[in-house]
Amino acid sequence: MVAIDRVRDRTLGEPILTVHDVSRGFARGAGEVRVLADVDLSLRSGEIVGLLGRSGSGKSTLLRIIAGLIKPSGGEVVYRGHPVNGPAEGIAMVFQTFALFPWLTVLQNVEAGLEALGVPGKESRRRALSAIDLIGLDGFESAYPRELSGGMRQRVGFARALVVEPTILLLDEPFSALDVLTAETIRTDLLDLWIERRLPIRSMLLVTHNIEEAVFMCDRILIFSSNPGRVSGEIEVVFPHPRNRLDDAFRQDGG
Amino acid sequence: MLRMSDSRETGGRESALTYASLTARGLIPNRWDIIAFPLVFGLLLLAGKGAHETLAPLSALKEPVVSLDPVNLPQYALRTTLRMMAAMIVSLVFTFTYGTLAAKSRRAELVLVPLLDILQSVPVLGYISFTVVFFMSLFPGRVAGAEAAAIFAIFTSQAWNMTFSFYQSLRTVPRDLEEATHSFRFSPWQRFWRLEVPFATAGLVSNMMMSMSGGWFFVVASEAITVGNRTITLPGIGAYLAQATAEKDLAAVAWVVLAMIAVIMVYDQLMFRPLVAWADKFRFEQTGAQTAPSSWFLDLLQRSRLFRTLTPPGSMMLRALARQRFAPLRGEVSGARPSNSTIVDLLWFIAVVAAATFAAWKMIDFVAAGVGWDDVLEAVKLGLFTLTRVVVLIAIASLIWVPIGVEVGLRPKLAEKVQPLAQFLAAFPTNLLFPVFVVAIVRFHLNPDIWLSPLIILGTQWYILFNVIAGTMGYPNDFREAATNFRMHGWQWWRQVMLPGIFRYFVTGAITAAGGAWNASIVAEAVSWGDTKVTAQGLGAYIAENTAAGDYPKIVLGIAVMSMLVTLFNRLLWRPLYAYAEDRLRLD
Repeated sequence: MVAIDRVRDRTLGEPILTVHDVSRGFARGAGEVRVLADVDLSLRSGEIVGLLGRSGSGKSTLLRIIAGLIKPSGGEVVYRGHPVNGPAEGIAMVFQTFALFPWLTVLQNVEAGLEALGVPGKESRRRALSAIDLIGLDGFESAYPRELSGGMRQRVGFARALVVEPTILLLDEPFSALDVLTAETIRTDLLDLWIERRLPIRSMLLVTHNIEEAVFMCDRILIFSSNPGRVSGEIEVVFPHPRNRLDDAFRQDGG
Repeated sequence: MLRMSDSRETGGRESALTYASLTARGLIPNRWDIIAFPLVFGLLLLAGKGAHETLAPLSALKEPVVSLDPVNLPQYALRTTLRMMAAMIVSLVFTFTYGTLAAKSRRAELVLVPLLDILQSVPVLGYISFTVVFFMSLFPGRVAGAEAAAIFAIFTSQAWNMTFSFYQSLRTVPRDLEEATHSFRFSPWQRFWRLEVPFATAGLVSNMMMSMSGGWFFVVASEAITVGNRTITLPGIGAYLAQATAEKDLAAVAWVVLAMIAVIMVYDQLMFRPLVAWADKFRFEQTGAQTAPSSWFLDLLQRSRLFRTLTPPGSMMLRALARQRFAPLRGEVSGARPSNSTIVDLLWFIAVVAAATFAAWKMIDFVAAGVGWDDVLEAVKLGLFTLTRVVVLIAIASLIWVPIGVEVGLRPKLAEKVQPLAQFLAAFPTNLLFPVFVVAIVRFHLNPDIWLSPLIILGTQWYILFNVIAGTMGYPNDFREAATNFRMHGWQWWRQVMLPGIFRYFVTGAITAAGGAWNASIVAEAVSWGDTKVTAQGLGAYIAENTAAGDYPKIVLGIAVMSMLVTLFNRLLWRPLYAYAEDRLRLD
């Protein structure tokens, strides 16, 4: 019950990010394919929100619009009171494909985001090393991504995202390229850090097609339907963290 | 000397045009070059020398006169194109036999691959003095000899990279597919046509296209050749240009440039694009997000009733042929290949070394008779001049084209327009424009050592541009997104995000450009306009002048020094760079 109070604690905050009527089409052949139609959602402080849907339903496109990587054809994303028109400070992303630069070492990959922010060398080194330490990559600083296993690579992806101390962490199917056991380990590690409040992050948005993963991690799940992609339902997950898959309450209808 | 061997990376339209990766070249054992080098030159020399002697008493070929009337240009253009096509057919036949032999026979491979490596570092226009004499002796007093020599020259500019690509493909057929053919008990013949050739097609076609583009330069250069007191002129675009240059007729130069533009545009539409679009289905990788190359002409052919009625008999025959086993169906799969006996290996090795030693001795003997140590020093010195030119110009071209190529590649719509233009410019034989430079140099009293230099890279700099564009277009989108998400920009973006990602493409382009520049130096360092001669100090001019003078020992010396410089340059700069790119900058 302590845990649940904590969660409630966090959800007291105002929405940090809201998505209003966002739609997006791609030109294909003569016509236009609508990928997203009138999507509305909000992220509040202290919650993990899941976007659950089939492959190709436009979840990842929505995530990229929120990240400011692509522009919506209609509607807007408001982050801390300002519309998002490009990559905003405080929104970091973890990629399904890891997207680590293969020619940079683990440390250089993690430091890249700090360098972009103009953090001085010493400070950036210190922060990068502590992020690497936090995420369990100690000793791998000078390895290249291709020398690591998939799980370790995704840990680098997390370290790189966490080191810039984002307000919102966007997760684009971060575990789907990993084997089941590895995915489970990293998920649990991430949740532990979240529950113990060792992360500066105030909210996470998780894109996934894995129902169990969504239920296991999220406080709120938005069901995404395809053609065109839109939010077709919302489920509150009331179980307290840490959740145990084998818990009776978790396995049966929680109501 | 256009060197490239395969391109099976990056999806999309550009993939077929992403010439070259030098992985095959990494497989090549270096020590074998020591044997290959004398073999190449020894054979060349024996052929040329023998032929030279047979031909000596014969009277010179009656010169066909080229008329400067532009009305004749279409006919000349056609003859030039036919020479190109003939050379391409010869190159294909060579590729299939040589490449297969090198890939299938371990003993042949030991000799053939290093041989090919040296062959492609020999300047194409260096051969011509020997081959002209050789082929003219085969067909004494007839145009056929000169034609064959020209076709052979174009062949030498086209064949090597195609063969390398084919050989490399045969060596890198995916293991699972190979196992599948064994499991279905294909005969070697069937496996060759069902698996190996289709697998090699994408790389082969892109190298063919590459060779064709490069070939225009050499066809123009080889149609009007003076060796000693003999001038051989073959009716064609190149001969027309030579005539226009001799008569100082700028209008005619303009006409021939126009004619060439038209020829390349037709070639692009009727050959280049259809072939690339057709070969796209043989692409092996399964990233299919980008747009596939298309060609209206290919569509027309495939849809026309005429074509549909005409082709089935032929293709049915070919298909039936490919279906034959030509080998008994064995009851059980034989395990490992029968082991080769060491004694045969040893004998083979001794034979190869003996042949190489003999060739080396012959070469030294021949060259020593007409050349002293002073000449060697002179040739090396001139070689270093040309080397400097190549290095400086590649550097300048890179500084210009890499940033432009990246900016273009990041805008797919723009890239779609620029890419064909760059390909067109790469195919355009820049020797047609040389007279204009000469006129300018003479008029403004410019220093030819400096102002002739840009000519060597005029035609080949585009390889840098379009390889960089292709590399940028193939750059993984998630990397770009990650860089944007973490707001990397400015110099950090170039240093950590983009430049490492396109480096391999850049090296490929630069290797091609450098190879082309060495070749071009033979025509670009000594240019004439009427009776005005403008010459830069360099090995290219040295070879050109000795070719004109018919001084064979010095020609051999010149091309040997150039080949050695090219080989060293490749070994000491390009290959390590490429290996570094392959090893550290791979995109996976």
